[in-house]
Amino acid sequence: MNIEIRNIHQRFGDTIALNDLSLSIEGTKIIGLLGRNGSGKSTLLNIIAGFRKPTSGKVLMDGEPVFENGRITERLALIREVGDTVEDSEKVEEALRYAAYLRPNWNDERARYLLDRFEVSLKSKISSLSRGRRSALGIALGLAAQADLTMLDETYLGLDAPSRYLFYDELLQDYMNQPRTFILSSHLIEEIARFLEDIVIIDHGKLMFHGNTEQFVSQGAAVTGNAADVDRFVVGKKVIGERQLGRTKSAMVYGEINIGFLEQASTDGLDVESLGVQDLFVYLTQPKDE
Amino acid sequence: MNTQSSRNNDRFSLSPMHTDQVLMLVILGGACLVIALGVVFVVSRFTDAPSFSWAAVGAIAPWYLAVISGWIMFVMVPIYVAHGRTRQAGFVEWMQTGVLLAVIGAAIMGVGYLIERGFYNLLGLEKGAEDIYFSISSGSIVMIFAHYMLTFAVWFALGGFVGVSLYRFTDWGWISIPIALATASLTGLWNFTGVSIFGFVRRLVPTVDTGLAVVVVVCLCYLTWRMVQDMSLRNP
Amino acid sequence: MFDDQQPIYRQIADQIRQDILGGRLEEEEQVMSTNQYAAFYRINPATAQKAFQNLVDDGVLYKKRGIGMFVQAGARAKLQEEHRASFFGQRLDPILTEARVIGISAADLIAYISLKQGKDSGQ
Repeated sequence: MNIEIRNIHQRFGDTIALNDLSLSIEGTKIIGLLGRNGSGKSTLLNIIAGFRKPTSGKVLMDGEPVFENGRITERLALIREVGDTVEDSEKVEEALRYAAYLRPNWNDERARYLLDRFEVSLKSKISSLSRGRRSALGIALGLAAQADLTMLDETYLGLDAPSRYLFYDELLQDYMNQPRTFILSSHLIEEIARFLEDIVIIDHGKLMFHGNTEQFVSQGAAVTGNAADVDRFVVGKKVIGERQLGRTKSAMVYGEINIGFLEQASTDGLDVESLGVQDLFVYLTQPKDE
Repeated sequence: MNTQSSRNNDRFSLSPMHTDQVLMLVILGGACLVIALGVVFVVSRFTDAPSFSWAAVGAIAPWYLAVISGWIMFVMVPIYVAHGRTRQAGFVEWMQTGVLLAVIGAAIMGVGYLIERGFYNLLGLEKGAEDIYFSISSGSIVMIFAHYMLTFAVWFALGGFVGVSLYRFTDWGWISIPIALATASLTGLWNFTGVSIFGFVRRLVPTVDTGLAVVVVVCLCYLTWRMVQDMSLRNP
Repeated sequence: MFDDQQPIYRQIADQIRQDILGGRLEEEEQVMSTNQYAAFYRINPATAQKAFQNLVDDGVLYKKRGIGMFVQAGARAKLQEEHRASFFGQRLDPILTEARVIGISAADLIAYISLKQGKDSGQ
């Protein structure tokens, strides 16, 4: 499986949601799509799934254009809000019936198992489901579709912590039993970081980072020590954030953290700490003018 | 992994949408017939010659088809796309559903007239000579069938056109309603059912023009296709 | 479960090393699969895979084709050797530094160690 995103531009009136974005995704991986609200990540997912035709640029899957190409779109699944895929006035059961008809690779047993785990009754009317149960239905529909590329756009909304961990467990099970590509977009970075093999960060409609999660984490460090020493140390390095408490200062540095870097810090009497995925993401994408 | 579709696209097979809609139409048609006959029976107790109440059903039926058609475009086609099907696939199913409903609906209308006429005979009721259904020979059932099929086709196309306009253009989409009504009324089909809102248009186009009706259906379907072929799914 | 300062694959590899040292994993015993590790720790299977690879490279585990990962014969002795080598530099030095900062004398430390060791061997 290979997805090629070529020079995507998306304009909504005067605002540019995606600005000449290119990205290529290969292999079977769980990928995290991170970005702040309004960064363009949902728009990007909509375009990949063929929900929207971009202003310009195109998306190819295994070399074929995605938009309005039935052989390709049936291999894609994007779950945003469950209302996209079901009719509110019908019962959960009915929604499964349509999914079974529309999805070539539908696994009904899996769908029913997941709904049972999430305690969603097949007899419930969809409009009567709580926010969390609606999300759970979306997750069940997304996973049971068994698409080559499954995209879940903030599908955790309304799910409490136990249900979210259930979702993560089932997602991992699915991935291991039937390796395929998943793209997860979530603001709960801390919760999902550990099972993301790759990370894609979108900021202001542009690609900010795409690569292995460990590689990403290894590029960020907090250097802490005497303020003057820290200031001297970071000259020529990319500082993405600073915090100060009295004479002690922490500078968040982004770039290659190699042996030389660590030895230099050590001789300068500075502490170097790794910044986890979430902190690094926050420092990289925080508003600039403050 | 699953490059091969498990679905057979070559042969036509009924989708859940087809069967649901046909079933609903048959149930509603049957229920309306029972009610219509009931009305005839009750009215016949008080006056001599009640007019055909099935004709009133025939006046409402096109609107039902229009609503169903609009609902398919507004609700079901986006759901199809969200489930990995193309807009084209959704559009084709919409058209197939339209053909099924127009044909089966027209058949129900024809059969309904026959049953209602039989019911009149059973009750020993005489109809006024002005009633067209009695003045035309039994072969007129074919004409009735053709007329309703055409009417249903026009109203179905009209409903889909409005549905997709509302989905794509939200508030501006309402403009499609007067456009669709004006276009449909050009055909003059409406008046045949005995209910006319655009009576003035009828005077301009006094006869039921089959050719014109076909052109209207084709035009509405074409405009619907143009709007649906690259529409974006709305954001949740 | 994990701290941020070490890559997760290394933490898992260390966990397996500790299990071997502590006798919770015997030599020639089969180790749980990458998928089982992934599900248990809720991590990407590729991360578990990397931990295993790290241990294979170090001669702690070996792979039986089509069956899975096993603990290498002699792995425990090898690990003990390695840990002994790094014990003073990596483990003890920070403690001694801290002892100095908070004013614990060498004599205090020796007394404490004698007491502990005496107790352990006296049982």
